[in-house]
Amino acid sequence: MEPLLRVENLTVFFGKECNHCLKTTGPKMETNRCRACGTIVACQDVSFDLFEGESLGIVGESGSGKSTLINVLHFKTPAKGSMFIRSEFLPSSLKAFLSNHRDGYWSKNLLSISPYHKKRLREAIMGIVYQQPSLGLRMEVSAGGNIIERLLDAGWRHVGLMRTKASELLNKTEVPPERMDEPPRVFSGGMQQRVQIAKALVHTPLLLLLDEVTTGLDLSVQARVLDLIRNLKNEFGFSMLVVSHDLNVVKILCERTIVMRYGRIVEAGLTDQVFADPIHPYTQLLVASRL
Amino acid sequence: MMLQVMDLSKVFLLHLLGGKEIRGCENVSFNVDEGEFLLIKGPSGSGKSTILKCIYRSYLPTKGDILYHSKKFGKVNLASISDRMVIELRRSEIGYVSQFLNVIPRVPALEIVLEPLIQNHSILKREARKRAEELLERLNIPRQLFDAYPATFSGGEQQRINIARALISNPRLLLLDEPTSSLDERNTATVIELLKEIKNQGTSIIGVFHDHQTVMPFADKIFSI
Repeated sequence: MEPLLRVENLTVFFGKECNHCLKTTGPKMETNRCRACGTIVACQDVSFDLFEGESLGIVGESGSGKSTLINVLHFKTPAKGSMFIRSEFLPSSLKAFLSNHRDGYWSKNLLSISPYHKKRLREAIMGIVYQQPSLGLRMEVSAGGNIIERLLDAGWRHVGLMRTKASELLNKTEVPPERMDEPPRVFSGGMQQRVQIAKALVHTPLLLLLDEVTTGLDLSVQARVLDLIRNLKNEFGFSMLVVSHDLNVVKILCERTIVMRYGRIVEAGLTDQVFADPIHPYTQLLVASRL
Repeated sequence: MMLQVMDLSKVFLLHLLGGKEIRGCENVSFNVDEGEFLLIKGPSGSGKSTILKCIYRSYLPTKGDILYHSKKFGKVNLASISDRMVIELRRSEIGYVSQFLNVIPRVPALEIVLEPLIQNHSILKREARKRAEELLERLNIPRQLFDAYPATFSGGEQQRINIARALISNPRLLLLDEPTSSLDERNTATVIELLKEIKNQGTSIIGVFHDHQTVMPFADKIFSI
């Protein structure tokens, strides 16, 4: 079994780095701020595989590097290290540019391709949903317009077709289609989140990145969003990376879980194993603190 | 031989209690053949569930091997194969029934039962639905509960949903952790009848039961701790 995505040794520094950065940070030092130069080491040597149709959870407290990791995968934050996708999953228009000509099985290192190709690859295979809807949506543009924007980017021009597609997607994410001409600004929090999910699904992504999607929603709305994501995943079969500080969210959505602390992976395993038999002291603390 | 447990030990190291060690089970060895039912007996706290959870990999064994002859990968050691392989085996070959239902909010009973089939992508949703309905009916779940959310079900109903979910994908190896603890006599008999059937079809079963007497007659082997 070969993974869909392979991430190796991701390292992210915020600040000017020095020789002491890696030695003075991490779970053992209980900080991610370099003592010598003040640089924040947001991620260090983060490696994992993601398989087709799999959902991988990433848990940890705030500041552990979870969101940084998502932003690196979404090509928003530059990082050292490498990230490969299996060539057969590259969109056909990019295959010639991005597959690795030496072995042909894996793509080139996606962290070092040109910004233009990063943008096109992102458009073609990724969708992202943020905790704050305002990061993923234009709040003043209509809900339908938010979705049409991504279709325009992909070269669609027929207004009627685009509107049909937008209303289909909103319907799938349980947003009443008759409200597609209203801006998300006037929607409730749960509905804004569902518009965001619709926007992320425009091009039927291979990889869906979820960054604390249910944080701040009340319980019944939270259950509805989680249920929606589960159903969409069963329908479309995409892979997911689920970042959350809420262990229950990860337990419901994910088969495997990674636990991060101060930018490092401290434990990785099957979700039920991580929760039932945590090995690392920090994971034991995390599980013991669960409500 | 289907499963071979050799010298299995599990020790929990509790860092929050200053590195206290708790022994789950020690040097456990047994074999299970195809279509065989192994009953694990012992006082509570003696590590019966621990053995089952180690085989299912909900616990990481501290020491020992768990050799399993899988259809998909051949002979594998469940104590050391990758998480991804465990997921594949759980989907298609190894079933586990715990005492409690892991309730997922806002998902109806029928969906919970047929989900493993859908994830296998091997079957149409309509057929999966039919099989789930048949199974629930056999387990005496009233039809009107099929579309209800199990969070509000009684303990016995939840337990039967759990059993249905494990049985629907016809596992080759079935691990039972007190699956009948909150069932009445009639339902216990139904469950045992079902278990006999799948055992005759070649499924190996390893089980822990609170009342051994009811299952003793159809156990092939007994392992006492």
